[in-house]
Amino acid sequence: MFKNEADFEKLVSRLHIDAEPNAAHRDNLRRQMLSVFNETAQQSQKTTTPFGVLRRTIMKSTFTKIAAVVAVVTAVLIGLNFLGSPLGTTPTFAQVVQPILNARTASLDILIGEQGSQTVIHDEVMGPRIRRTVPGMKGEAIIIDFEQQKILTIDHSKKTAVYVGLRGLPDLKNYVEMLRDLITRLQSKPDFQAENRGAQEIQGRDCLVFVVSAGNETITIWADAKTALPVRIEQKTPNMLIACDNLQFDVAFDESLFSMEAPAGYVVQDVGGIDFSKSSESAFIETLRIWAEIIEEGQFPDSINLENVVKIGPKFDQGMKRAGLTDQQQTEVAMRWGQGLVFIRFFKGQGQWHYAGQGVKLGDGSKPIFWYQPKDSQTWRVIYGDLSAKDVAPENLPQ
Amino acid sequence: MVGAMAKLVEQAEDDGLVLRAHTQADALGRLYELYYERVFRFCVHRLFNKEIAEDVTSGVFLEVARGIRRFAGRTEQDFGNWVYAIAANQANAYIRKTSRRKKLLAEAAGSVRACHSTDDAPELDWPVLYAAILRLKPKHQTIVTLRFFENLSYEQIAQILNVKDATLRVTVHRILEKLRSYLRTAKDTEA
Repeated sequence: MFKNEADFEKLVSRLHIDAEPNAAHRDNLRRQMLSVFNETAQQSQKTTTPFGVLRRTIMKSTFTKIAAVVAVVTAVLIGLNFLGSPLGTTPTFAQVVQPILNARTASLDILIGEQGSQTVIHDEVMGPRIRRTVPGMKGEAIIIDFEQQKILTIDHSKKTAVYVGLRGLPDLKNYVEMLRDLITRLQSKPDFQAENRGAQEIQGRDCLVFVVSAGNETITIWADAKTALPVRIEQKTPNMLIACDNLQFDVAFDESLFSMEAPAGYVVQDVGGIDFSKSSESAFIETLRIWAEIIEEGQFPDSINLENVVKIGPKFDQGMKRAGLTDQQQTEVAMRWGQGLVFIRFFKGQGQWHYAGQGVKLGDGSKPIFWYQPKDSQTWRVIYGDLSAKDVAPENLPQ
Repeated sequence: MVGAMAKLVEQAEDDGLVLRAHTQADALGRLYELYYERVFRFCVHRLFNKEIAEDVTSGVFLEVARGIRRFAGRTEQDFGNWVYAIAANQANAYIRKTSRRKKLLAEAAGSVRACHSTDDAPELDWPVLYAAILRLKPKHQTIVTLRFFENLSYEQIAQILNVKDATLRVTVHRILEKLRSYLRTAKDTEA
């Protein structure tokens, strides 16, 4: 009988096992493998994934939360982006913003994308924390803490708690605080312009509509005509449309629902963090690579807009399974993908970015998929289907 | 110094090899050359039957051919871990059938012999030990093969099986305890 590991090692080393491969098998298998490889290349261009299969994958997967967590991180950016925009003020507008200035808690829906295909994220705000509900993550509680700069996702069915760090966030508290600061700051600006567009009915309520424009952005605010309470805020930029709907202020919430503590007995995982202060082209290129290679089976996505990003969890999860990644690799890939998105969410170039990757295959160096003008640059940066990037004069930009 | 540089260059080339293998058959062929023998040896050590090991090895590389375009790893080590993980799953799937298990037991008893001990190592009753190994959970059997037959490091096995290094060490300790217990029972029954 062996006594310990070293003993067992010695014991096994004394075995004589014939593990010499057969040359014929080796050669035949090589041919067979390369033939399958070539066939797969042709098939992968035709394959589509039936919704049923996708759904089963999502339901069974233990990793959905990883991709979903990235979607949540992106959703945080949606809020930041939204609130980082200018608003206007008029005497009537001042009445509209008064509830925001006085509010301690809030409840709202964030709608992303065009009407009819919108994704709805529901937020409840209390102090520095947001309790968020994201589509496709039913049964999971997501708490975002701006003070601790962390997201906690609790899956009660699997008894797991996952923390994601949000490093490098600006000094933010929550929507209500942000709105308060923003309104106070903008009220002192001399150059703002707000237009009262009169009455409009939304969701069966008579509302007053205010439109504020600044630069490339347009913000529209609907307020209840009787109570002057804001009920909807919409922001349109060249690259996205986000609306804040069903606004309610000073809602009575149960404080325990906003706890950042993992419930006792739950398996706790910390998957690292996304650094919002880092926004580089190379990180974005890596995001595009992961998107094409893992999520879209060798082709760039039709769109990289926020609504696609927020809905991507299930597809991402399925791609990771196909790629045969370990848990650790899945986490790393998901975080790398999320990190690169900071580039377009906190876009620091001039004007707007353009995406044209629809239908382009990864590796196709002849097709431009993304271009933007870096700040203070005379030329543009163009990223191609083989993920190379070049400086291009404005007159040579893709049409 | 030169050797170290050569190793670095070779490593860099190999890293590029995995990325090229996503789209280029010759790169995939090169990876095959690098890993065929390792995978085959693992299968033999897991199944103790060369014919079955060939079948399972075939299954492994055909799965690689179907999945390489979507494989997200970038280095040769990532590829190695992935291939071993596929091989472990396919071998486990084979063994799961009881009928096959009995056949394997019979084969293993006949195909492997132990040489005489020249040191103070314990005496080995191979068929009994293999029967004991087959009583372990499939994942634990894989650990035994990777650690004691393939002599892989704890670090690499942890990556292949996607577990923490420390957890793996504890698991190995428990596996050996279990094997001792199975062997003790077998000895008592024999007596």
